Amino acid sequence: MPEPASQPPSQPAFQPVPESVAVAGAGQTAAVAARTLRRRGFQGPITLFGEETEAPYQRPPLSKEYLTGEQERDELCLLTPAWCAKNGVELRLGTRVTAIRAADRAVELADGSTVTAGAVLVATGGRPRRLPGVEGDRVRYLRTLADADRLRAELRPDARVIVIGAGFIGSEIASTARGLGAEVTVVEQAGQPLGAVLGELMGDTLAALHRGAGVDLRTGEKVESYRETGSAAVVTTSGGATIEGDLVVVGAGMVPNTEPAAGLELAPDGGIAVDEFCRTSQEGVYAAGDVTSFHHPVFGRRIRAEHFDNANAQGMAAAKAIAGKPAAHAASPWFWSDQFDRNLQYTGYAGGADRLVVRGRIEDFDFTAFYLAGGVLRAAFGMDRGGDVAAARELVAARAAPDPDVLRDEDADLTDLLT
Amino acid sequence: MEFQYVARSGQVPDGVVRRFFIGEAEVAVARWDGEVHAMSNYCTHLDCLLSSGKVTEDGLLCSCHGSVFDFADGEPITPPATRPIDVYPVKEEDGQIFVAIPPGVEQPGPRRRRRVGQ
Repeated sequence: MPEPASQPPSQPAFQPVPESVAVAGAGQTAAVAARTLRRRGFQGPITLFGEETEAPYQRPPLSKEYLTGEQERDELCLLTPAWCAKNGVELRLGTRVTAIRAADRAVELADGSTVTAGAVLVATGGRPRRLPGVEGDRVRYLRTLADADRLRAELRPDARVIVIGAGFIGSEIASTARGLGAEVTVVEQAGQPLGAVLGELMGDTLAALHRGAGVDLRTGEKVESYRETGSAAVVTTSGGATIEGDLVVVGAGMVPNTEPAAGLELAPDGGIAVDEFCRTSQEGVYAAGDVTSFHHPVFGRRIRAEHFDNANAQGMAAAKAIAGKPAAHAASPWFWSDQFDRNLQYTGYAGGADRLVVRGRIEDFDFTAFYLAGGVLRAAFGMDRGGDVAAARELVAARAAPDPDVLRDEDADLTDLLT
Repeated sequence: MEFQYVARSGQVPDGVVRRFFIGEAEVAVARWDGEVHAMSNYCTHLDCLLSSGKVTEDGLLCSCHGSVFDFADGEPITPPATRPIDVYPVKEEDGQIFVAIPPGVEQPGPRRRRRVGQ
């Protein structure tokens, strides 16, 4: 289905370098922005306001290496106290920003105080989407380190885990729980995991990956009811199944934390509207990461990218614009997921694709699928094919129309297509 | 510390990374802008093989999770990696590449997950 075309927002001119920067949020985006500001020579005060009490940390391991216990807390840390002290970056943790007053470039805090700055960066991220009707003592969501700590203690080899939603977070938790020996049931309302994003063939491939690892994957089934007995969580599905478990983990996507940014223009998809320099509709106010929606020049539409690479790229783009060294962020979106001993990667936007070309062997989970629209490469999805996806990422950004026979030919070097 | 022969210069053209073994040690040898660089072949993030990665303007890109390491000092320029990789002295003479592995260098080997790109 064709996507409605979006127009780039009209933006004010670049502002002079501000005297100070206040960042609402203290996650990946905020940490990268602080580092980039200093690297780009910004010398004014930088303050990060974080709702969590934890110093900035990486989230991707929370559903994988950290959840299994292979990685420890200190390996996740993004800004150490020593770095902050040396670089004059103040972390105000356990301090939620309740409102951003764009006209004054001020942030209002939960304790009632207000802090003004030369520029404000909104990097408030998102929170897990709650599933109505699924509430109780045995229900878990995963977003924060505290969530992961709790889940990590509970994913024992004898645990029976019910995962609702076979998106990336749900699939990674299912993979980790299986790896630890737990019994895992995944309930997914769509016909295939990620079928809406990747299409039926790739969705079926992911389903085979789940099932091959011993996950009881129930696709095409919605959660009909949820209750808890004294000893179990009980889910009934639209397919008539009754599933009992010790724990229910919900992976139903996320909601951007736009509430404090009431004065900023939101896009129809719910994110804060920004351009490729992370400028919002208000002068001196920038936004980056999970909370944004940005007009992507390659796809001619708005993108809401809720992943690590975008958090980094937009954090850098916002910092460069603030520091008076603007550089557009227009790379093809890219992310990875490690699950069931495979490294999955995806780049681009597959919507509107009319042709799928596969390189490698799907049945061995060792392949890259290329999505073309009118001959132009729009997206690629690979398993254990990081090199292919890296090349595809550049081809997508260049709006290249590669020869499908070359894409398919394992002996052909994809990087040759870049020249 | 001794320089040891690893490859002919032509085996590592500009913009390319390949892996070589020096005894037990596994080394990624890359060339950018004419200059040859040698480093540990294991990404410090999750032990992916850097020889399956890509030579970029900023440094060596790990193709598993996107970390980029500076050629000169091994520092991670782009996350998720937070720790530097070991870089080794390298020299090129008479069309041959030599690398010196300092004594006592221990390589991580397969630690957490299956190595990608073997």
